[in-house]
Amino acid sequence: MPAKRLIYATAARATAYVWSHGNLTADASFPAGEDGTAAFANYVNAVPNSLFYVLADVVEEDFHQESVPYIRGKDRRALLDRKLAQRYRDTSLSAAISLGVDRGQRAEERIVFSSFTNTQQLHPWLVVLRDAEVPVVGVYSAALIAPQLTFRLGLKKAPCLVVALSQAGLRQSYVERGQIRFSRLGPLEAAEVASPERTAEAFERETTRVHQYLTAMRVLPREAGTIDALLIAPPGQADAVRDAAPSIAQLRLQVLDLDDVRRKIGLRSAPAGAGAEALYLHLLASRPPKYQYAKENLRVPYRVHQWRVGLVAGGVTVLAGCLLYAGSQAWEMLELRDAIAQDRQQAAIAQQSYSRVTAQFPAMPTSTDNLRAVIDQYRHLAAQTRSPQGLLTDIGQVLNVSPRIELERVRWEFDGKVPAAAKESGTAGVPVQGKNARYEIAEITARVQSTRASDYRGIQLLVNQFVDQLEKRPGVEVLARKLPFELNSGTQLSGDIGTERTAAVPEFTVTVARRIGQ
Amino acid sequence: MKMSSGTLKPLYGPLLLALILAGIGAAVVVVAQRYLDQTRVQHKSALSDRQAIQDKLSRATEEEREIRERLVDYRNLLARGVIGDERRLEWVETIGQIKNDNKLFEIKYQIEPQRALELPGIAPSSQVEFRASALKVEMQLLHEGDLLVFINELRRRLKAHVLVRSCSIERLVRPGEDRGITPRLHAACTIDLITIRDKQLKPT
Repeated sequence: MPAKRLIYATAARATAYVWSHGNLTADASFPAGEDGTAAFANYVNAVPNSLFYVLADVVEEDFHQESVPYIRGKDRRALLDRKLAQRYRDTSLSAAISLGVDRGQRAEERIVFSSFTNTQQLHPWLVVLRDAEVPVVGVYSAALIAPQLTFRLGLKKAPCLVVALSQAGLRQSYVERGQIRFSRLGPLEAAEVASPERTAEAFERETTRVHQYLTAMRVLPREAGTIDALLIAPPGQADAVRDAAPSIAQLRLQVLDLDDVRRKIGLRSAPAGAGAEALYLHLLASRPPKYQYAKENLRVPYRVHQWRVGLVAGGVTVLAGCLLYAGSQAWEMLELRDAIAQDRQQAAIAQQSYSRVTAQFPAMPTSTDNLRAVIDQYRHLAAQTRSPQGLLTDIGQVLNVSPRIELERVRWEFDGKVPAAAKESGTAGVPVQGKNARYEIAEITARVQSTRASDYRGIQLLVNQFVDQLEKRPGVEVLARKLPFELNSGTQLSGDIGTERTAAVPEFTVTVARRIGQ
Repeated sequence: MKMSSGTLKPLYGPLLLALILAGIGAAVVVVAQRYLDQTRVQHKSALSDRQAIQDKLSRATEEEREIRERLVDYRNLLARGVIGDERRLEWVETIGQIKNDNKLFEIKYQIEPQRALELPGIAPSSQVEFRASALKVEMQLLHEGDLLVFINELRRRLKAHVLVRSCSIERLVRPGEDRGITPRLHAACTIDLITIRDKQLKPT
């Protein structure tokens, strides 16, 4: 971490302080002038890895409040720059401080324009810092830090006048709603600083004067109620300041000892003899205010520093995020491994139990799996096994009631193929079969006795009666029949009427089936 | 605010450091994710194994009942000679005994080489194999009952499972041509004699 170095610049000199964890240490002091500037340059070059904060505490400082149209973005920036340029000849150390927006019929933003009006006295120090290319966080005024001081002392939003004695003189700052409205530095003679009585008188004089000025300038409305006035007296002079304090009806005076204020704001140690500037420097180092005076050309090294810090912080953040995510994954992995161990343990216990149970099984001539395979498949085989006996019995019983039909030949087949032609011919009795239906099939060839071969009607009647009887048998389906002659329109039919051939016996074929599995 | 390339030079180191840190972080995440994925697969497998064995255990009682039930059938098949190697010599002798015992006419037979049985529901495996030998028989019959008796006797006495594939019966003599006790029908059948080969069968 770079060291925080605070340059407290007054009209007479610049003093370098080092701040660390609430401890403020004076490091070096440089008088105004060429010698001091050269010494300051040597000092700056000798302390690399430092962040520089410049606190200017000079008389030449201006505050002006104005309302501007409420606009945003680049236009606002341009407007504020223009306003600053209109008001100040040199805007190299200037700032526009927003006090908020009045949302009336026409929204307006209240701005306090502030600038150092004599930048030349600060210029040498800033040139050294710029030339050394050290990171300058910003150039601040004690006025900009006054709101934070009042906040830390418990006066958060109420209007408040803060009067405190620093190296440069008596600083009076008027703060309203947490924002600086006006500030003034009243330089004291050396004799005034040396005498506690005269210092107390200076508090009275300057407080009265600034109150009158604020009232005259209408920064402080006449009809406004009582406001707080914090008089921060040098150590041990609180009583004297209190005794000398002005009696103004609109001011509710509160005199605080500088040492008490240091403790309240967390300043652990400060150089001996340091005045109120130690308060401002501590607050500046611990929490810099939002606004500052320097332009970006002075802050380029600081921006680079911010980028460097940002990049490293970004990398560290990504790494930390990844580690955090990986940690959550590792945690889940550990939980899963616990679960795996438990599952395996339970599986082992179950396996042991299963082994104990199977040990009680009867002695086996084969393995369990083969036992299952053999019996399950054999049951399939047994369920499919057929004998010709079933269909032959059905055929025999039908023949018994069909005395004029004489059996010639029977062909029985297990798992026979149903003749496709028979299924498609539309022959009576042919069922609509399932695609995978399996059958035992018997093809019956028989002859019609005691009739003439040309008696087509008689033969057809006898065959139909025979087929009807077969179809009445349970489970028997007639798949096809073939008469001694064809009566289809698509075939040829011939005969010889008058010359009867007594020897010819009409023969026909009927195919019957029974579904396997019924 | 614009920065020159010279101004940006001090950023190279932090940028490189940031990239290295981010890279390390990404690598850590990738490695952790890989291990987590592997662990998830192992967990799934362990869970599946545990459920499988627990299911098996919970079905053990039912399994024991099934095994006892199947064991009865298995022992029956074993006793009938269906399980084991085929015994052609015994088959031939049995066919002769059936002919003599039932006073059947002449029987011509032929046993084909053994082959794997092909039937729906029968799936050959490395452990259990259903094999069939086709028995082709030609017989002279007094009536069709002789054929049925022959088939039933085969089923009852032969040390194999008998599956009749086909039979054809043809008339030799017309009604009225009575020639005494002579064959009136001719039958030709194809019969599968099925045996089961169990490679885990323990020798008795």
